[in-house]
Amino acid sequence: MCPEEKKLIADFQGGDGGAFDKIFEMYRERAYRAAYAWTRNRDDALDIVQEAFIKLYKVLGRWKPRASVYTWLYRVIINLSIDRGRKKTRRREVRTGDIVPEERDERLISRDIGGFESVAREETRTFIRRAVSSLPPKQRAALILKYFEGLTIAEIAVIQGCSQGAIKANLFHAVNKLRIILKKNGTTDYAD
Amino acid sequence: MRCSKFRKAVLPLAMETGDERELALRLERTDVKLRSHLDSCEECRSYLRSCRETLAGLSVLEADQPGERKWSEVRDAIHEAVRQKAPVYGVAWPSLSRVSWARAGAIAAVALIISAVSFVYFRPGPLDESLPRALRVAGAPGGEEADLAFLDELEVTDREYDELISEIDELMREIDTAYAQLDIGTGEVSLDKGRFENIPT
Ligand SMILES: [Zn+2]
Repeated sequence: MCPEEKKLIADFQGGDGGAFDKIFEMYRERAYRAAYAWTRNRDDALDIVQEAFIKLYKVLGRWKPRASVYTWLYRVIINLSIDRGRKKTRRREVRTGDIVPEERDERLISRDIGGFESVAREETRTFIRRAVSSLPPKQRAALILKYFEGLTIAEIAVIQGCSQGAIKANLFHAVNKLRIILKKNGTTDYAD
Repeated sequence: MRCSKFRKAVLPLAMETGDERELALRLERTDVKLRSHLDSCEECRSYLRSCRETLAGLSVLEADQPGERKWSEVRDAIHEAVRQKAPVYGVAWPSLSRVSWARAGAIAAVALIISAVSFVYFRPGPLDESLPRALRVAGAPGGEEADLAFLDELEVTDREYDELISEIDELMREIDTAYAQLDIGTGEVSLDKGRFENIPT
């Protein structure tokens, strides 16, 4: 835990409500990035971030000095993302044939409206999103935390509550599966 | 050594390097055996390129961050939620001016349950065996993982408490509804009036 975080937690525990807002500002973007990478939907990601910080607020009064806020937040965000995904899948199963639309990338569309290239790229994006979604949760979580958050294997192991060897194996399998899926689709040029 | 032995070492190279220059620098510092294998094995070089390209493709999952206004809304919503979910205060208590004796008894019983639950979950002081396991894990050896486990269990305990409060809240509403129905046409026993008449039989 960094000294700044330590001080903010102590301030919060001492009754300074403003300290929580500072913690929120410190971690909201990282939290959002991880939630978005999982859900691929801005509203869902923001809901997850909100819920995670509500949970944080509730436990912060009894925070333990050896735990880092962001480690705990990632853990909660991954769990909330998995839960939300399950609920969505269940809802989709109930309403047969109803497909939740993927969020479109407005940046791309505004750059190249109606162009053939943008359509092809959009298809690639959708395909990659689906490929990542098809990974088992532990592999998917390891990949997001490593690739998007740049966390170390040791940090991911703490977040996921497993050994570093297991994280390495999860990453290895995740990347290999994605390689194979993308290669089959012709999304990547390289094969081995 | 067979290629498969090197593949696991190739992945960190692909994951932790950005452009080609960064990769070249990393390769210079990498294990000699791996470097010489990559120099001589086209398949493993191709595998490295393939991993790098796969990971580069993941950038489609990156998002633009919300603006400051959106973040303010989220922060306000968090504050609001925390205020609403404060233990005990979340229960909608009926006005005492129209409370019947029986209803007052039911409320007192519910209040007693809430107090007991609050005491068990949130009492301060030294940790002992009668507390939930979450509260006992605190201070146990094991570094960050033990503290995180403690916080996880605290969060679960807190959620269970919230659920219990919601159930009590629901019970209160049912009691209210039942008594509202009882009041219609039968007359009520009102504290305001200080009378005990028209008691339904
Ligand atoms: Zn090889």
